[in-house]
Amino acid sequence: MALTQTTTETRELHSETNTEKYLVFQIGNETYGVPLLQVQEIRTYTPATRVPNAPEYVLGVVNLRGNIIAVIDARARFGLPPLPDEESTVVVVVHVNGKTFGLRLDSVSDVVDIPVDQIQPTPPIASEATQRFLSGVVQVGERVVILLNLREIFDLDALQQIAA
Amino acid sequence: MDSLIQLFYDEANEMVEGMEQVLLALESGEPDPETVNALFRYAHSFKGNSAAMGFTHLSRFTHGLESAMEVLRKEQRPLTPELANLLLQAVDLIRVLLERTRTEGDVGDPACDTLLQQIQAALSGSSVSAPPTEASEAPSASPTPTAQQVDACTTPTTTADIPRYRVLYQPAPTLNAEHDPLQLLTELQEYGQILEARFREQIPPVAQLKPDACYGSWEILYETAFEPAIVRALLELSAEGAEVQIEPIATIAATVPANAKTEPTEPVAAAPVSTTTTPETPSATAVASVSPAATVKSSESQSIRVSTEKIDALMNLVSEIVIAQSMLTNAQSGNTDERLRAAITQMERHVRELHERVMAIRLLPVSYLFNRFPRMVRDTATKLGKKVNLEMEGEETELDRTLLEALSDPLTHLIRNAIDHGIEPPDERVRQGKPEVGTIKLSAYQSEGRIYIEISDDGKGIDTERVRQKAIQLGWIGENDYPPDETLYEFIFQPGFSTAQQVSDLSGRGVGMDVVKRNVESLGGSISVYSKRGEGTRFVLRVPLTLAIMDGLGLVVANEHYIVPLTAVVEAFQYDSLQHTALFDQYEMVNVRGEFIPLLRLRQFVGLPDGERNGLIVVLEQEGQRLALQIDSIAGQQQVVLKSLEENFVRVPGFAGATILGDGRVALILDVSDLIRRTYSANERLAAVA
Repeated sequence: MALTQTTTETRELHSETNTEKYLVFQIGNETYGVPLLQVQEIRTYTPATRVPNAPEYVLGVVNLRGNIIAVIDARARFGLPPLPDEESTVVVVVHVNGKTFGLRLDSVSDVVDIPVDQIQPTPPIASEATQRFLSGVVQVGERVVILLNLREIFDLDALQQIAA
Repeated sequence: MDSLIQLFYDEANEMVEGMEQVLLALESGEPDPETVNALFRYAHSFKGNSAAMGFTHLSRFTHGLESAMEVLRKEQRPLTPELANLLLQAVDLIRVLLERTRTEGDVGDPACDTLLQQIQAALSGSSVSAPPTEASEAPSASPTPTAQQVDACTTPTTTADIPRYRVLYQPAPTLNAEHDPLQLLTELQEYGQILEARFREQIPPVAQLKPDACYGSWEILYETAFEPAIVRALLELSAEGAEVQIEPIATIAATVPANAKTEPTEPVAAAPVSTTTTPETPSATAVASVSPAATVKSSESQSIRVSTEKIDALMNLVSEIVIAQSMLTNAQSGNTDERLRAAITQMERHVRELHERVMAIRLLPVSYLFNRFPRMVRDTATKLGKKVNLEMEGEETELDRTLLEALSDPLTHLIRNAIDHGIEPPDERVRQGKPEVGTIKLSAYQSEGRIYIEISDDGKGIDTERVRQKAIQLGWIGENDYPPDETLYEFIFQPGFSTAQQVSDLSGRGVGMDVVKRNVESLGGSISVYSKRGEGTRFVLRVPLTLAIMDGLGLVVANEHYIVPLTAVVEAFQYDSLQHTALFDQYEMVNVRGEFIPLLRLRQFVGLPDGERNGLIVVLEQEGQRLALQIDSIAGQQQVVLKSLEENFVRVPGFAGATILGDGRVALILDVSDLIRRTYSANERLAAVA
């Protein structure tokens, strides 16, 4: 009775504006976004312990409340030159591929609601290597937000080459 | 309800396991009355439990087996191979049915009757003409009780959301009062769920019996979301003059037998049946009484069952305390207050002991893992027409639970391999002057902070020529390459390699050995193989003893801080150019009192630019091999909590894991065996090139 009514209402609400929340940030001149659901927390950046013989973009490992997690530099992962650490440098802790990682960013902007049906497939704007890191583009107000595919960015199989 | 069901399955698995153990023991030895009695206790308890759970088919089947075994006991007959086979098949069938009850409830199988008939026939001496019934899956496919048991126990305990009560319904003393117990129970069922209802008889001797008196009461295990007051009202309404008692019951967690370290009597062959600890509330006994013969207690160690969640939480806490402890030590290092120092030192001692004891809780004897192998060996050998005897040694060696589970698959594979490819057929062995029955020896021991598990057989050994040919075929080496045996053995562990002519369904699919190696390595262990043509093969698995806390020594190169396990450190001294030599200007060595030890420069190893070339030399040793590590300086000793790198990252070669220092930084922990292996093989490669 009363219960089913609310359910229908909720359903209607959803179909009207089907949005998903994204965490949006700047890398260089571009704006990028990742699904908020994959984000566990955001921390200030603390120097990571270097992992010998790891790829350039792996800054190292840090202690996250007793767990050892790897921190990847977003700029380096995209082949951009590194920037020195600033006050605003953050580490976004994400949970992907069953593991927890940190992604170092220059700064974080905000959280936006992105209508799912407005997400366009990524045009081939990036190099072959980095294309797979992108999962779509969307216009949010005046900005173009490029959506990242965290699963590819944190694809450990590529990292396994350390184990060679 | 969940924890009750869990309890049933845990105990059921133990009993089935126990039955199997006893049957195997009986088969190979004399029918010892105590052992035979054990068999009955298991069967009897299992029968009762299954019946209480409503699994009537299972219970009836077990009853049939009991009767059959009763014949054996009464007439003191030995267990013939034929009977043993049938009874073991029955155990398998029970296992399968047990599994099916999880999803299908009270399920039967025509195979049960067929098997019982065959057993009867065998007992009465007529030959079994029908081929032995295939219990739905071959034993190899059914999940091992141990794994299942452990599996089930790692499921987090769920507190029943619906409260439970123990309802005592004592009807009025005279039957003339208007009672309708059936109606009462039906009504109860409408407002909740009756988990169990037992009628307690209190019938006096016949002389005192009064025909119209009620001599009995009901004890009901009841689950309901309604307030007890409502239930009471319900009962009192329909049961005038009756006495009703309602007691809430505390939930008992699903459990795993924790091996209390005190006095284990004999090596645990049968799984220890533990007594459930009863919380204070007397209503708990209602739960205990669900398994009627819960009093069955083998003479082995007293133990209690504790949920693994609790243990894990405890372990984590202790790990954190150790870190906090080192932070404290760090913080007070400049302080000269004697009392503070003394207090901290004492705390360090206690924390260390606390850690050791908590770690010990998680340790289980390796016998848990080994116990399934006698059966497996027996069945596999029979299937392949070989005669194999399995010897086991060191079953009491203790190992962390998670390691036990993880080692199950690799060991199974290796043993199957040994039977399949190692041990020759009986006549072949005789021709070679070997005993007809092959031997596979499984042993476990502890050494240098590691656990070693060896599987050796006296079979035909690894055919190095065939390995070489296969490697040529796969394009790994050229036709004229004759690598040394050690290299050939390593090929076996590479993916895609298999010299089995046919792919038997047991092993040899080429996906076995490399998986074994990978599994072992992911535990932070390693595997090596030794073999001699015609004599046999030996696999040695090495795994770390503890996955957690150890004493570490801090090593510094440049501004990077690394940790090495203290157990691996032999000595440290100032670098002295007089001791240093470099053979062919390539292999660096250090002369330590006449012994030449290969030198590894840590700076170089971790990819730092060249720097201090003197500094300190730390001599490390693992498994009899030594390595000299050149570093800048030592940063002191501390207790270190080993944290996994693989959990959220990847395995980094040369490192066993990482830890968190007193100041919160992460430091990587060196894997000494790995370093030694790399240095030695690097030297070999250099030698090969030279």
